Amino acid sequence: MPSRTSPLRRLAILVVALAVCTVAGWQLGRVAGPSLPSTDIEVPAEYGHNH
Amino acid sequence: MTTVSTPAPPVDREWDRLVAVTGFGLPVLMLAAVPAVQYPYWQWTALALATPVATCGAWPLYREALGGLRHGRVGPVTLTALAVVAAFGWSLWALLFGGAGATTHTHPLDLLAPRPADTAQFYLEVAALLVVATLALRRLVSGIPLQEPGDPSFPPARTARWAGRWYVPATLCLAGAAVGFWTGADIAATAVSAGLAVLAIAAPLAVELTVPVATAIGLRRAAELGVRIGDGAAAAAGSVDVVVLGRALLCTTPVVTAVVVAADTDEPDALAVAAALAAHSPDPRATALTGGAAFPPSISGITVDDKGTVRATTGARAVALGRPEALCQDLPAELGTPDLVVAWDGQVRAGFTVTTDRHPDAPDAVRALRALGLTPVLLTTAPDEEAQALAEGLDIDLVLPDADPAGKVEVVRRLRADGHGVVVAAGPGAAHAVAADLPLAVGATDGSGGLGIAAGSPRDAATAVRLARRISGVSEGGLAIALGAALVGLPAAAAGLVHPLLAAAIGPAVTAFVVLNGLRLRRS
Repeated sequence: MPSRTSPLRRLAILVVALAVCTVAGWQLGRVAGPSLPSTDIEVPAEYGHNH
Repeated sequence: MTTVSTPAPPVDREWDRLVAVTGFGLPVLMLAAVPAVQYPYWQWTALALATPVATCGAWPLYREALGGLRHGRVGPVTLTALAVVAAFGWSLWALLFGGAGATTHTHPLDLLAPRPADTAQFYLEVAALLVVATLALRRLVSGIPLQEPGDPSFPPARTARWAGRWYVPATLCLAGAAVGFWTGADIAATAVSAGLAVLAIAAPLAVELTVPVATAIGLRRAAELGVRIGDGAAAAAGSVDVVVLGRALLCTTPVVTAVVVAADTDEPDALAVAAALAAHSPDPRATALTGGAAFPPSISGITVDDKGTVRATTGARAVALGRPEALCQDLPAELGTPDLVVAWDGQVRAGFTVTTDRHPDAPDAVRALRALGLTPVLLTTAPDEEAQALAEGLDIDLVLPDADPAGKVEVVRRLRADGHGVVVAAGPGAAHAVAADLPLAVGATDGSGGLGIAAGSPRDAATAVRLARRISGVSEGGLAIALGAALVGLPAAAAGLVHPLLAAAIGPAVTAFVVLNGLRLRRS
């Protein structure tokens, strides 16, 4: 069944939904962030970048 | 001297592309996965190798994704293209500005503890793996003539359509939410890995492909085996538990052994009229008459009454074909005791003796149907004695003789009313087969609707039911695997618990599994 929504409108709805989810996630992350455990791995000295 | 030019073989660009991206991509994967080979500045080698993979190699993916976006569509390829761009783009940033380009940088690849602690992580190997795996999958699927089931209400197809509509947008939103969450929590490195893992682990192609692959391979296998699986058959086959059998399935192809005509009738004339009517008769014995004339007359106004008598008109004549007791009270003695008679202008003109023996494969056929969990019932127009003789030695639960066409329909309706799913093996278009959950037309291997097998091959009945069930089962199984993997994998990836490289392996692996699962139908 062909969709009645125009392509531009569909994309706009998707972008808005994406933005809403990202912002909601960000807000949730700000609230829950402090109570999160630290990262699971400690990067040893030889890993990562050395200056 | 004449020069014969032979056409050059077609250039298989997609194959060349797959070989090239594999050649460039595998070293990237090895460099990233094996710390022992990570020599100073190895990451720049990885970048040099991954760049053609993520640009030229992935070009068909970008082109298709952008083409879809222009029409407001986001599909499986959109997710893959986005994941490759994100993995490659982030890696470029990490190498140039994030400190990952330093001399002694090594790659801590711990798939089970994937939350990185710093932003000097790059994911060139994820981009390479996604491109190689996606192109390989497209190659695998390109050889399959994908086919949507003809019945739009086929449950797996309906679920796949519904899931396919929401899967990609929901995955994109989840990736956005994951990136937002980890950024808000001030752990930017995890934001990248979690967002990337969500895009990579989603396998929307698996959801999209499972039903068309199973349908295409199942129907191809059915054609090889000489059976037909029509619209709606796969959906109905799973729920049937009673098989109604008749002479059409259990007996050999009927043969006319004697033709007796009335005094003032030409035999060719009688055979021609009988041939024209026989094609519309529900009596399986009438098939013996269909080849009785090279050019049967055209008939119109065809009706079939509840006793199975076919009536029509040809020219100015009203003609009929049926059992003697249904067409006249007193059969002329000169016609003997035929099985079928043809009449016109209110007078019986010829009688046909039709012989059908029980097919030697009938016991095997009934056994095979019973092995599928179907309860066999013999429903026939034949008198009790003949029906009992037909059922002798066959593992049949119930024998119902002396059933006229209307009575057969009533039996099928009652079985269905009692909660049984009924498959009826009968001649094409038989009224009681039409009333069944699943008609199995004996003598019809083309056309649409229900199952169909060639006349005189009773063992094919079980083959057709089994294959229809397998198409349904493989479709449902593939869909369950695809959606189950998504239900577990997507939240875990968003929570930062899945390394992007592991996600990039799982996503295509789920799709490959679903496709290979469908290909198993080739050996059904």
